[in-house]
Amino acid sequence: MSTNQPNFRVGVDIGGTFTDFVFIDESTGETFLEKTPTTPRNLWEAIAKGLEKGNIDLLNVSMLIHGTTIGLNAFLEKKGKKTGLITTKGFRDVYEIGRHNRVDMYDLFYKKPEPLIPREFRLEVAERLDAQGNVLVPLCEEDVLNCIKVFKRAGIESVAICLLHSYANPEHEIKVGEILDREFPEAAVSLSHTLAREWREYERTSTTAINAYIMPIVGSYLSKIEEELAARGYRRHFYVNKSSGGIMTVEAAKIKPVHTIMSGPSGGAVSAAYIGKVAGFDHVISFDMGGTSTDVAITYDGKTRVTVDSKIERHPIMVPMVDVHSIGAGGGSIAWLNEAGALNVGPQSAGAEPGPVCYQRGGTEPTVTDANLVLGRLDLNYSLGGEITMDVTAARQAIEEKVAKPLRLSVEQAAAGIISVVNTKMAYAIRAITVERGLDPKDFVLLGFGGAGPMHVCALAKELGIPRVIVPVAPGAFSALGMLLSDVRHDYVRTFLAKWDEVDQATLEGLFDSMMEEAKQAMEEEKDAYQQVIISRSVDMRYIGQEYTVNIPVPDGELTPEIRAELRATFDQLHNRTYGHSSETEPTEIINARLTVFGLVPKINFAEIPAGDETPAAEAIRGKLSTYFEENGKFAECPVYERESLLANNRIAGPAIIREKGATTVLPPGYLLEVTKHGNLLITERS
Amino acid sequence: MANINPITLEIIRNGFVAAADEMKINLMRTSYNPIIYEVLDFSIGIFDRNGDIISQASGLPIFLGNLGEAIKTVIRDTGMENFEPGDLFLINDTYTTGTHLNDMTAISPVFLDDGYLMGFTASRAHWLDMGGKDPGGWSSDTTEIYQEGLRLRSIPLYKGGKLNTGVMQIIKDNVRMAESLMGDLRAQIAAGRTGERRFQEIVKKFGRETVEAAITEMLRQGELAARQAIQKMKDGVYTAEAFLDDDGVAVQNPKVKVTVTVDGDRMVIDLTGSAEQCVGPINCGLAAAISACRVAFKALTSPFEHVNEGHFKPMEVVVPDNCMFNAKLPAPSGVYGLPLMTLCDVIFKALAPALPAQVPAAHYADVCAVFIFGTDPRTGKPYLQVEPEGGGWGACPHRDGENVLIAIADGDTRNIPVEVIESRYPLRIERYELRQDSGGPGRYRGGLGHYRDYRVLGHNPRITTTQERSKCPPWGLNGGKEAAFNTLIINPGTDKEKVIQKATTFQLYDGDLISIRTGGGGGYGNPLNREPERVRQDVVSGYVSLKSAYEDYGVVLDPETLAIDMEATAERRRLMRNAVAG
Repeated sequence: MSTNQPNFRVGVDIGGTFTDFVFIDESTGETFLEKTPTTPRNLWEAIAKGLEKGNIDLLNVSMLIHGTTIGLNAFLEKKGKKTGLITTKGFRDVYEIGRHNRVDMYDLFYKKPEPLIPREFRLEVAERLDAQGNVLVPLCEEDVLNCIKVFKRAGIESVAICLLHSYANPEHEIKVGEILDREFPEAAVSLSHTLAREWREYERTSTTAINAYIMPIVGSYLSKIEEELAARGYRRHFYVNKSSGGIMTVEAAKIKPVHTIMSGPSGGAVSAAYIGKVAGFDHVISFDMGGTSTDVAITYDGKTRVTVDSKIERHPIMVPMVDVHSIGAGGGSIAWLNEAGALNVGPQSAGAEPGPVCYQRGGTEPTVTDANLVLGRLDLNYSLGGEITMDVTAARQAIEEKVAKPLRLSVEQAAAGIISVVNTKMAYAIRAITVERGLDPKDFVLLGFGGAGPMHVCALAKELGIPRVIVPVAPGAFSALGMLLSDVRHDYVRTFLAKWDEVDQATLEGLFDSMMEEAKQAMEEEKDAYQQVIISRSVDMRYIGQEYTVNIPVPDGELTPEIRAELRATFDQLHNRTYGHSSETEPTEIINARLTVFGLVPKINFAEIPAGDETPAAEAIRGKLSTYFEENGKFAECPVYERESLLANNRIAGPAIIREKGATTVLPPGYLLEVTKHGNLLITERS
Repeated sequence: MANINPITLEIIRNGFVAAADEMKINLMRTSYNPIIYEVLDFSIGIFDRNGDIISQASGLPIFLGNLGEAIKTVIRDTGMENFEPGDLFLINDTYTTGTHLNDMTAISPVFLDDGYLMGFTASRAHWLDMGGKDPGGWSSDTTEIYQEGLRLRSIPLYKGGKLNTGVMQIIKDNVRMAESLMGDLRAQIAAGRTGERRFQEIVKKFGRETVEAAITEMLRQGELAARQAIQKMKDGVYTAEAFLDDDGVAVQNPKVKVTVTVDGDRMVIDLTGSAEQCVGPINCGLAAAISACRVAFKALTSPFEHVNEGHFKPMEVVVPDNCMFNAKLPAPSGVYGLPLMTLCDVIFKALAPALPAQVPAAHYADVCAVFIFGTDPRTGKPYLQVEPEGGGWGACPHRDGENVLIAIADGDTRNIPVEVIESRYPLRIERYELRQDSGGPGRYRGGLGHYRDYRVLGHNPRITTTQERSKCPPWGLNGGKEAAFNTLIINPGTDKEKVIQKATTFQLYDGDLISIRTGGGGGYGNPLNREPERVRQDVVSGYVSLKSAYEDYGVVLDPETLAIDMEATAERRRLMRNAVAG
């Protein structure tokens, strides 16, 4: 493979077990995949091996995008570097006090999230602003120098700075940052206003602390990859996937690693939106079911929903993230009975080790995968591409002993019950992000991926009344694909409290301009990645007195009374849709101005697969399975198709099983599957 | 009992949990006052047609028992046959619902298509003002409920979907800041409608019989779990007591006394011996007393299970007729919650011998509320700022207590961000900091309370506040020491300094500083048995002072390097032990 023009886009997604690669030939739209075992001690090894396996010369790569969980893992495993905090005098404990609520309200031993920075390294400096950003007490530089002394003595490697009201005026934070750069250049520095320019000091401090905590680790890791790439002749930009579903340069990722924390799940949501669109759907629910957890997210009107109000292990993070709803249920989730005899599934998982009972690696507790196996939904000889042999007898025994007997059910009933319970959990997770926000699941297509997604997606669609399902090409490496489809994205916000009727046009424009300035700088460094820029301006609006807001897009140009009234009407309408009521006569106010800039990365025209007849070729059928479907209440014989052998236009009526490396699609009775020209499986309920 | 498939049961259970959570989000996102959307001072529940709770969203645990009682009152007052689809009733009557008038409950019946009354949804939210003599209520000097505001009992705001404008007018005319309160009421109404729809959908999907069987089975399982937990406790009769500072008006040291009988799989909590009905407003209705007992009971038996009525079947509460926990007309009850937090701790204290590994030492036991109100000089409009304050929790049998966490009665309620307060109100917060040495010393140290200091800017507001338990501070367990108590100081360290434990509409002036100092949690085990290294670490972190390390823990540290002087420490501890023994 060598052409004059670099024409390969490469996505690399390092997961806990496998490193996934997606290669796209931009000229043909052909996609191919590779997978190598992750090499935890030196992650580069796996990357090098994958590039080698893919036979890709870095000189031919136009763009390399990386999704990494290194920041997330450093946070989850509490393996970040020693970090200090500088904050306003009187407020060093904001970070430890938090919001003081007890989520588990009857737990006498409730524990708050442990601060990443212990109290002795949370230091204060004299300075104070008011809520409008006016300086009440000038910054005491002497205090900053004293903090540096303490930090140096203690071996602090990274410093978080979060001063009160810095969202209104970042002057003091900037000055503290300058002093650190001058006097303590070896330390990594995180300024709160550069990460989240919004009020709520605890949430902003937490965001800054997480950023600082993982910054040295993410930084040195990315630098190492950069060096290795450069040593192999890679001269183009190297991008990192963001939690918001966009991408950023590696330089930006080193300074704002908190943006990478949820990059994996966001990649899945972006892929789902894209594939949905290609198939002609603007409303998409992505359903990513893995071994231990399931992530769901929605795309409405072609836009993937993003939130700035997330938490990870109860630590708030105030940067934009794809609004992924995670639940602790996956293929490895364990089924168990509580003391009163109620059947539960998860959140405990058998994980990869020991894994489900049927893997015969020492697992003794029945899991969702064991239930699927007992119900004949997994091809015994083909799971994980034949790399693992499965023991159905052991799975049966475990379900019988732990679930069926105590509940006085047959093994099949118990197995079907485990599946129902887990499906219900996932259905409620999807409800939480649709119905609770005024959206009807019936308007969506459900896109199922991840190792276990294709197996459950039809049953879930039925539960939610969703008429259409897609199982995409390569459902096992779908998140990595998302990276290649992501646009450059930057989000900016300014807190600005004003009555909507009285908003001063010049002030608002000034805010948008200043955000645009920032955006321009960032975009300059990334200019070889995108072709077209889209700017979206919006405000967060609410009825005066309310706290929570609805985000309303603001058009360019003058804010005439007509446009104000129009936006106001949009607000009433969205409020009504989301919460079931609105009040057209009540005054509204805005609290934030937001600007999001997208640099549109050239889109991929996916290659088409060869077309065939409506009836799949006989060779596509590779066997039969006796499979249990709730619809029938009994086992029925059901053909097993090999996905690779299916051609465009092929149609299959359920019940059927479609197997492929890394995933199995279960097509229940009453469903019709059609292979699209790009090889995706479009499934509809037969009327 | 109809036989219900265990799978269907779980699906229905999750459905009710999701419905209550959805109501909660709805109310929180559309309410108008920080007391609801930031503080989350509200509670949501879904009930069967008897008013028994099926599902409750996390929120205020203290509303656990009395939300159902509110529904039962509305059923009694209205008559089952008189409900119609589209009804919505309001009730805040202390003597039936138990809590103060500011807690307004909105109740809607849930009808099926065939006209069958299937159950109820309820939301109770703290209204910032309910009329009465002082803005915000919470007055500690009332002597009759008539001074505390507008009292409603089973009043239909909507009947058959039609708004009763007369009732609306009465409310509007009798509360302060009516405009924003009507916004909160709208949010409550919308939440009720949401819950109603979800409830109906569940029944539509599974059929009435199945859902009813599921409810019965959920309650049975809840009861079974509770009975099994009681069975693990050692049978016996356990007693404990404590007391509050005063009733705000006339009664000093009102006693909180409990006698808990554990007998096989049953528990009786008897409040006999507690103070008689008080002159001042610390009384609560019977339903609230039962609620507090339920909170303690739930925490000890099945803290992580989704709550339903069944969990409480094995527990009986006995309250004498004349008791501050059984308020009768016209007893005031504006600060009804204060004795309830102490009541929970006294129940834990009583049961400590029966459950040695499951009971922490006492916590700060007040929400230390400070109502600040006046006219905002920037806008000329009245404002009222209030939030619950967190404090220290008791040390546990195996670890230190948590610093600054909300009191037992309050659960998922939060503070208001400093940056939000300063944007909204003419106030500046000058510090929000852990209160050194406020945790009770012990082998495991009690959690710390906090300092929260407000500066008054450019106007002369007034405050109403309660800071309880100064005379009976949070106690330790198993040799652990007591903690610092809740208090409030105006202008500390100046010649205008004034210490306040309770005050109603106390006048402040421009530039005054209000310093709220919440108490800590009691210690667990003898502090002389705390590893010196952990004491040293506490001093390094500033949780404990050098002085307390020496005086309470007997640990001698070098004041410069904070290194432990092992010899001096051993000697100091020996002397301290002897002093106790001698």
